[in-house]
Amino acid sequence: MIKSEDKQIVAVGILSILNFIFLPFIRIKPNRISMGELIGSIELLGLNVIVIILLWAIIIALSFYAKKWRYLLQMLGAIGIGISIIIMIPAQSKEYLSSPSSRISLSSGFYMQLLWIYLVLIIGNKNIKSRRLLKTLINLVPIGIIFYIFSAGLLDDFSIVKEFVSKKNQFFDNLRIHSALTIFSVLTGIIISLPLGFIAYKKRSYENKIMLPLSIIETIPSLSLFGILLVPLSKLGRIGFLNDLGISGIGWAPAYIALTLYTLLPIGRNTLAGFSSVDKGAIEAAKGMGMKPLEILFKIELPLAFPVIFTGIRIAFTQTIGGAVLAGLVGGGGLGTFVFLGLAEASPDLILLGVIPIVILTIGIDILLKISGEAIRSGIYD
Amino acid sequence: MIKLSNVTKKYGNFVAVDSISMDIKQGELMVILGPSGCGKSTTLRLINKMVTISEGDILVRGKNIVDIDDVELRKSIGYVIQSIGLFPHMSVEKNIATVPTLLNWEKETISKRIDKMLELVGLSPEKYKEKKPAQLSGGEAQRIGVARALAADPDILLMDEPFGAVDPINRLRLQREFRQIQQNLNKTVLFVTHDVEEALLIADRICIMNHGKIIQIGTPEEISINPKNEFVKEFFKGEGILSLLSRKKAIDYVIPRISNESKSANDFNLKEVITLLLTGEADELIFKEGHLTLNEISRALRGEINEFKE
Repeated sequence: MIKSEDKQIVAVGILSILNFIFLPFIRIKPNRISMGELIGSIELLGLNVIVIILLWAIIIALSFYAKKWRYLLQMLGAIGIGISIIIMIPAQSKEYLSSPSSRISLSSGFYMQLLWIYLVLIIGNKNIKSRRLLKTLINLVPIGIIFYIFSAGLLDDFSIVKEFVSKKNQFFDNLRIHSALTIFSVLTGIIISLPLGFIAYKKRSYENKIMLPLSIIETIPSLSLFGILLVPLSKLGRIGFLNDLGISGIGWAPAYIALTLYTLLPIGRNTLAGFSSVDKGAIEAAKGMGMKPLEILFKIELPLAFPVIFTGIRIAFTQTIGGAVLAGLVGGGGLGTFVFLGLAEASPDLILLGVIPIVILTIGIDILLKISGEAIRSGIYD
Repeated sequence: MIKLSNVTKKYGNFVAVDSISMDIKQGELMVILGPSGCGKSTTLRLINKMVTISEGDILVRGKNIVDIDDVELRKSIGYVIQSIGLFPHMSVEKNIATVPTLLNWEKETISKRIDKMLELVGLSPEKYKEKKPAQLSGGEAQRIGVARALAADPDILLMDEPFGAVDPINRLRLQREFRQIQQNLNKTVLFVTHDVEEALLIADRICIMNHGKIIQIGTPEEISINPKNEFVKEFFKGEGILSLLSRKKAIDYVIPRISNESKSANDFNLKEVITLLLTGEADELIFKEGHLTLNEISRALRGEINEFKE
């Protein structure tokens, strides 16, 4: 045992084994609504628990070895545990699933396993510094394997999968709506607040007049904003052609408007900050050398301000993907539909059907935008 | 080359530049010297229209600047500022190429010019062309600033405390090298500073300003020996002729005599000669060209002072 990371992994390993043995592992429900019964890991997996416990023990033991590659093995071991559990659960549950509507729901024991596996991956990731290819593989391969298992139908008995299967068309429809809502809100936000931020930068006197309202909007709780928009929008919705577009107090209109309003602050504020961060000496020199104002804007100010502006856009995106959930409350569609439906029907797995894709989307877009931002930044700086 | 006639700049009620007139000759290095807030930077920036005139006229190359397009005027004048203002996202190469690119020069011409400018300011092109401003030291950055200002070969340079942000050791080198470049290239330079020694080292003429007005214009000799008032005297710390000694070359004062010595009077100024005579053991310094004693130097200098006093 050398570093603190090793002590952390040992702690994780021990806690993991304890959780695994003593916490309820899964819940078998005869149908969607009933609570079902909790089943522990030993009862479900029988002797197979030894495999999992053994793998954890190996991970713990590796912490005592002074070799550099122990982290890699630990991470692979953790991934192995995760995939084994996911395969084992449906395989071993067959005897409990008495009817076609019976389903497996996941309980605390399973979720804790996921947490400890994730922690091992994080701690290990810190310590393998070399080889980006390896890192990317380790992060992507488990996702790939799970996806494969999923498409092979092995996960069909999980309740979340059952929900997905029964609502497949609705799911993809809502996914599309959710994505469209997000993209259009952010794009509209960019079109409105990028110029606003720029004006606030050029004319100091306008800075407060612009930033203050945007900050106030940000503090309005989302549901209140929907409420505020309800009356004016329903009035507008009675006008002929607006009605045809689908504008009304409920539906996509309040969602789109509210989400756009919320993007205004991050984008506007970052635009102002980005431009303000440009070296004044560089601008003075550019002007004194004979650059026209537009040339200074495009050759000096914009390239230097861009990284900060882009970060603002990235924040707006991640914020909006989550915020778009509320569209489900006002009939605007999107993944929030499942969340609220699940709340209404007391079906946690339906809620998960809405939430998990949102989490995946948010993380995915964040990573994608971070990489694009880096690429553009190094392009600007040559 | 540059002529200011009763130029005034007011900001509301505050008079930053008060009816100043001066005539800067072609190839001259004119230093505008004064304390902070005296209006020297404003005066400089009136010439390239970064600041608009309230009253008076400025003629550049015989034409009133009011009749010249702002942008065209600035492209024809080199501009160097204290904060240097290199563009952080561009390489040294691209920075220097700024004005030539604005003037649509041929790519080949620009490329050769960049190399030439880097060599001019004493930096190796291969080593520095691709560097980014963040990788440069203060002295290197300001050299690039000068190279960038000279890139389009303007005949006029406006410089606002260009060496102020550089450390003292490098500053001396930069001042000497810049003076050499200016003389070789015969550029007309208007140089703003508050540093008396810098002014004395490089100026052909010095213009002293205070509270927006010109107090005195003249050569360093004229001002040191005949300061117009107490203010000027105080500003030069009352050193008078002593402050000029570093400008005087020993070769101009040496008494010719055949000798076997190898060292040349060309490499020494009077300040160094006097220091050597005072701290050394001999009464005279012998050069290849001749010799110097303290007596001979004091006689020559007294003669000069008397000439000025007339």
